[in-house]
Amino acid sequence: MRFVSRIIRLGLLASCVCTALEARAESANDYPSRSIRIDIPFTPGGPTDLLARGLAKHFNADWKQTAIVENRPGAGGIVTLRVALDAPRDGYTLVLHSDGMSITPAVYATLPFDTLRDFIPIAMLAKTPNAVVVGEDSPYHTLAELVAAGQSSGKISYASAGIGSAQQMQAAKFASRANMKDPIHVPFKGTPEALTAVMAGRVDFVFAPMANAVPLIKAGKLRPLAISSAERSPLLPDVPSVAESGYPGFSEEQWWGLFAPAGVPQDVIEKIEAETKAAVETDDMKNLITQLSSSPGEAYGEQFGKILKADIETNTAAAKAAHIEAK
Amino acid sequence: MIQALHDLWGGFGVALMPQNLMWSFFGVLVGNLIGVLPGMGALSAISILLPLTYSLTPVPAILMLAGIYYGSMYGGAIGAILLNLPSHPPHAVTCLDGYPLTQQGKGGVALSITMMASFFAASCGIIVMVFLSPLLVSVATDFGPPELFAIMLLGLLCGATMSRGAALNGIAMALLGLVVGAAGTDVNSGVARFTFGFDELSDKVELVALALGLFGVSDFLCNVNRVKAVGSKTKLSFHDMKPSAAELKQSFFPMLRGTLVGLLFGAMPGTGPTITTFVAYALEKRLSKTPDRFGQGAIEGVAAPEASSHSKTQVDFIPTMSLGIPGDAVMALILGALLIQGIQPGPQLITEHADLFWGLVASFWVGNILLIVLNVPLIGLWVRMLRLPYRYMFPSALFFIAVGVYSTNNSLFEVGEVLVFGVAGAVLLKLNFPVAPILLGYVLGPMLEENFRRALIISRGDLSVFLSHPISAVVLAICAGILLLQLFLAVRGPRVPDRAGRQPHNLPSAEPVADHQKILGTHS
Repeated sequence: MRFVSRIIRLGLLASCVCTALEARAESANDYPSRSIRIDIPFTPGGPTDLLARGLAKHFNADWKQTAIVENRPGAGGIVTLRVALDAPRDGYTLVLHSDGMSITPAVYATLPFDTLRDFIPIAMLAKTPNAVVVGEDSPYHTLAELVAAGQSSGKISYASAGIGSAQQMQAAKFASRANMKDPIHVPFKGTPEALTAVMAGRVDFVFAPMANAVPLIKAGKLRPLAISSAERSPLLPDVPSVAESGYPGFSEEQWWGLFAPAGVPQDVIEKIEAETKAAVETDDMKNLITQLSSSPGEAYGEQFGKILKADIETNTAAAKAAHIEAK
Repeated sequence: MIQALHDLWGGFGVALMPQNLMWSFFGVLVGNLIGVLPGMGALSAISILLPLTYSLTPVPAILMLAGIYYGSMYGGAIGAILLNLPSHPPHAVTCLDGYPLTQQGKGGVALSITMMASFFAASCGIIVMVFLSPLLVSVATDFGPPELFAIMLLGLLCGATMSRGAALNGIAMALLGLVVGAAGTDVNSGVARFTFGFDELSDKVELVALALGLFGVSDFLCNVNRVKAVGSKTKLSFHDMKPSAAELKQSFFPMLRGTLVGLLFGAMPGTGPTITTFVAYALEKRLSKTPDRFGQGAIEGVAAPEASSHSKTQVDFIPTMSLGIPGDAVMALILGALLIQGIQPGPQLITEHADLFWGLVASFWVGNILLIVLNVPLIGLWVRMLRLPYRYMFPSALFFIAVGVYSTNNSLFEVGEVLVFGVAGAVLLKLNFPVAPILLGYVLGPMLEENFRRALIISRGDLSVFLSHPISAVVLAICAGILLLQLFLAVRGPRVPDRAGRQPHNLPSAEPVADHQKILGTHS
């Protein structure tokens, strides 16, 4: 019996030593030598999940290593990010997150990490504008009419997918830019519920994700007033951008990006970045991005980091101005 | 009408194509098998098999996923009835009478009735889908916060009849459920409540963990070392699994009413399947001449909720497909799968992808028939499983519970929740507190609060909004009627045993407020 336990202990020790050696020997040349985990903070089926699975397929094929997507929803992504920070910083744990990455630091009073310090932005995979939409029976036919109504206090309401959602941030930024007085925010549990409320005319407008909004616009259930990005969207070429409707410089987009916890060796990061870039440029990823009513993100490394930093700054300012706070 | 029949005919052509039929069968089979495992629901089954759809064309992909969905729902009923394990939360209500039936050796009968009820209800749901889709789509947007609030209130009032035994115990448990339901981030203010610093709690206590802990695990804990095997009394001949004529007759109207409840709730997106089953059960109990049989193995208490959840599920596909509004996480996943296939769910789906939509509708029918064909021989096998000694059954079921609950969020925290609720449930059972009202409070409380506050935000704080909307006004009037009726009955007071000679404390009047009044009344 004692012999057996000794063998087991020796085995455990040996495996520890091996792991340590393996960790030390890790460099870009060997990477990846085992399976990679891509954590995402959302439930299966959503855009983040679909992008992660698409990317994982390329990792599998090109690196001959299994890439596993793990959905770990919770607390606006904080759970996933915390778990990723607890994992070894060796490049085998990556995070695919949305622009929520730039919102949590703005709306949460305390976070268990510092987004800019603790995460390395690798690549922005895709981005999409939102459409400012009203219900089919709404009295507002242009953005100007909506804004004019919003000048009288508490008259206009906007829906969103929840406190701290991109939809709320964008609408709040727009409302303050357009000098709307006390617009009423009606948070819902998700985008479909928010859109239903606008369709039914219970809430006046919403900054709706294109993927959800376009089919409803085409069916006449929603009426688009403007597009949140600086440019018009090819999906709705006749709809003006917010910027060209009298608010120059207004540009808001939702995005999805790949991150690694800080501490992963630079050469490994570069290898992942190159692979991701190659993956995004393949036809099937391009198709997937189009299916999601998005366009390729086309921002990598430092450039993506700059976008993240700028987003966090504007979101923090907007959250302070509109008193948006979680916890 | 004719057009719909014509389209449906085309749909059957699509659904019966060998390749489509094969994938549909595969989905039903896998869904059924995964659904039987405790803790594994449709969500885990579909997440596991989602990558398979990448290599398929849209029609077989969606048929397979739909097959998994209702296959696993049916499979979940098996675990609920035979092992008291509701891996799909709506089945928690089925446990209430299904499991006592199993303990009386009638598990096979309960499964057969479930099978019939689900097939009947699904068929009705499909008929509604075929003929009433446009109507349902147009009313789907009519249910706003005030209406949902009123319906939830009605559900809570009805659901109070769930409890067996002392009514005050039931109320206490429903209140406990409301408190458990309050944990997490408040949708309207973004404030985290009762999370005690755990980020994992900010998205609410996991429903699956709560249901499995309170029902399955607590029952296990109470029975360890006391029971040799769950089904020691179970008879195994095929004859004993067939419901008798009396049992069939007994369950026919409950099945019908359950189906209607499901259809009604199906027309209201935003009401989950769990509340539907609670309402169907409460309705049966209220209409029954012998309500005290409920909770002790009344076959009606299995037929009605099962029928309601299946008809609701079918009808729920309409807002999912035509408005892109998923009814639950599973539907969201199916929508995601459609998106991968390049199909945008939305109002045009039915016209633009007619073969897909009608093929799906037809495959529901085909799939449900496949389920019956598959399960008639399997019932014997499932029931035989009960003969397994407890010392094998218990650990293996716990293992699957742990795996299943872990897979809901890929987090160990939820597994811990099962443990906590299992122990709490066992303590409560020992103290004779019913656990079902906890689940009811948990499900309804947050929806009630959320919609109440949302209605007031939209109305700028004007309370009259609940009365100015016709639907909510009517439902609130029904709520008031129920309360007044109970108050009246309580004041008149059942002081003497009624004709049946039952003792007053066995009386089925378990309306919380009314009962409270009764207590006050006798004291004043």
